[in-house]
Amino acid sequence: MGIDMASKRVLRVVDERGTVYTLERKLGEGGQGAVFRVAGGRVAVKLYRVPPSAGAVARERLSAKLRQVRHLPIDDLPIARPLAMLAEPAVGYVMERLTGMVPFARMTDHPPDGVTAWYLETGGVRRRLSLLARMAVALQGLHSRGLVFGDLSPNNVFLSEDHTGEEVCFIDADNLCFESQPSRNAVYTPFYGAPEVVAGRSGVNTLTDVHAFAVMAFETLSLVHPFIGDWVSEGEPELEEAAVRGELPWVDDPGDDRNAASQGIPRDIVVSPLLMDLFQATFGPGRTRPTARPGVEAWPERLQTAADATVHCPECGGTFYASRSACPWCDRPRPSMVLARIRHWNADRREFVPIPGTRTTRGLKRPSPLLVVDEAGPRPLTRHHTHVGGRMSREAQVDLALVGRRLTVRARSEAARSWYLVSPDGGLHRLDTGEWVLDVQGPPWWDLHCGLTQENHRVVTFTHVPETP
Amino acid sequence: MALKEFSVSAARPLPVILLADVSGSMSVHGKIDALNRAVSEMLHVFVSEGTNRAEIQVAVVTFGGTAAVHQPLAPAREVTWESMTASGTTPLGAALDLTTGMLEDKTIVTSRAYRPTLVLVSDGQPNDEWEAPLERLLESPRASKAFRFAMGIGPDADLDMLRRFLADPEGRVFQAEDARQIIEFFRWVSMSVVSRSRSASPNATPSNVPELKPSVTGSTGDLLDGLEF
Ligand SMILES: Nc1ncnc2c1ncn2[C@@H]1O[C@H](COP(=O)(O)OP(=O)(O)O)[C@@H](O)[C@H]1O
Ligand SMILES: [Zn+2]
Repeated sequence: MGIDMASKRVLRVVDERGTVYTLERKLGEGGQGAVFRVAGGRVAVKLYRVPPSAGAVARERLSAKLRQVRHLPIDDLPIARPLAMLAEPAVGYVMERLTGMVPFARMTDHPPDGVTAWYLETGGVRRRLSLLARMAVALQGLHSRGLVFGDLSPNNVFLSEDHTGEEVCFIDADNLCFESQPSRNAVYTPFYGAPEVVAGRSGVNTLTDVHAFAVMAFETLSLVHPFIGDWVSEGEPELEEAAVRGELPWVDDPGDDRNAASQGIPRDIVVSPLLMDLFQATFGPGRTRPTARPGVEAWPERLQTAADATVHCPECGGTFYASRSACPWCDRPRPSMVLARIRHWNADRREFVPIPGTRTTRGLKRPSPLLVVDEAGPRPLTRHHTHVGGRMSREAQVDLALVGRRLTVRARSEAARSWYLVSPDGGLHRLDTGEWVLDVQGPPWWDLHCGLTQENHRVVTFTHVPETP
Repeated sequence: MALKEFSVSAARPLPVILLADVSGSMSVHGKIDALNRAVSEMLHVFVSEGTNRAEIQVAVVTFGGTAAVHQPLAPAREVTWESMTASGTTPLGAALDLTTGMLEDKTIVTSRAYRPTLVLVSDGQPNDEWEAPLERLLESPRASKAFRFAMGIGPDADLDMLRRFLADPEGRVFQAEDARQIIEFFRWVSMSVVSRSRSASPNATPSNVPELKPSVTGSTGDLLDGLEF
């Protein structure tokens, strides 16, 4: 027996290897079944709600799926991994339980009022962008391996419970499927399903994943669903059904403002111009033509760059794009900051060139890497800033911190110790293990060379920008 | 420091109207107590399961002696539940007319609202003229589109009347024999409403609500609520 229902409140299940799990408390319930916390362990159990007559078939299908998932090359991706199948008669599996994490819905389920305070408390623009960048990297990890997540939604992605944490993790690994095996599976979460899935014209694939991702990103940033503008929101519910089937213009359609949204956070505050291009491509042409949607690979760099371009307001604690001269949340003038701009040293020509404007396969511009350093705390330069073609990675190469006009620079990686600073008077200083405190008054400005003169490498220039007068 | 405020779009109302028999016969066998408990539990579920897309609203029309609006339509989280008391006759017709009026009043149920849910609970025979009022309800534009649930309590319930209220050959009148089953019926209704509030088109029929199986949900406690094996 896999299920022991002898006692009223205690439920036990057994996995295929005979390990017994005592289910403690229901963590949540979804369309397919329920997820339980297991006593005394960092695992959870998902039990499917299946009528006994369909149990054998359902167990076989699930078991095939889980065998597949267990052999997928996804060990480096943040997904709550399935650990074992349950034995008969239960249909379900044991998986890693996420601790210290909460559903992503925390970032989209806004309170009815006091929205600004809540938005800033939950991390503001910068944390939202960073979390979304993490999620995009993880999704890219799946897509680049030919996998489809399937039912991406604020309930199937978890994030750090702590408002300063920036971890993300996917759950529901049993919905993963292969791009190469076109799926007729159309499990989706309301409001996140792509129009062609909602309308029943298609199963899930990487392009429907990317739609769901873009909806989550747009909502997380602006608190508006891209298809629910004033027209839909004030209209009858039937209009909402048409909207989620993709039959009406999206809220920021540049050529059709019938469904414009007067609600939510104005997009120019929270959406960077390059991100707006992605939203427009996804919800404009991509609404009716899935292949017009940019692939997930377009997102990580633009999201991370947008996060790097934000500055912290010392008055309200919010963050905002440093291109604005004042804080959009409280109107305080933009504080002083150091802008780390990144160029490229061409060793053959012995000159600086702007970062080569590479284009991705879909002809999308790549953002120029940069980093805003403010007085709120240290910020890391990562491979994405310091290396040519550097992948998105969280590991700091160099830490930068600003106090007044003094910028502290410190190597964090082994490699960075051999990089060197060039002072305004032309002096060379190897970074080494020490802490450099630069007076960032210029021009000329201090430069950080992430490599030696005889090799091509990136160069970071520290420009000081005083507080807006 | 003053923070700038931004408004967010208000959730769409999802009205749930309960027509509750509170005639004298409901006062025996703990029926009215079970009903009160069930409704307050349902309100609790609606509050804790609310989403910012659908706002579940609740109204209660009672019929016992006279028909009255016991609880005007209001968001579940704003309702302070006052127990109902049972006495008098069973004027169902008057309650149906009150309900039709409420549903068709656009100042009460706005045009933004999702299709309403109507729940009729009774333990006996109506003793006013109810057939014409039922016709009016079923023919009124909005009430006719409503999702309808019906429960007969005890052996004297007028199952034929409840079936006519459902007006759906597939519809099933739930028969409750005891307090526990009254509570279960309301759990089922709550689950259906919540599942609808979270669905792609909260206007459509819920699909994920498992069929009600009192023997399973009733005996194994919280852990297994809503599960079948
Ligand atoms: N690995 C996990 N760790 C912690 N909580 C989890 C985990 N997996 C699921 N949950 C919780 O259980 C709920 C239901 O799980 P989910 O897999 O989404 O079910 P369904 O796919 O049926 O909708 C989730 O919303 C979440 O709160
Ligand atoms: Zn501010």
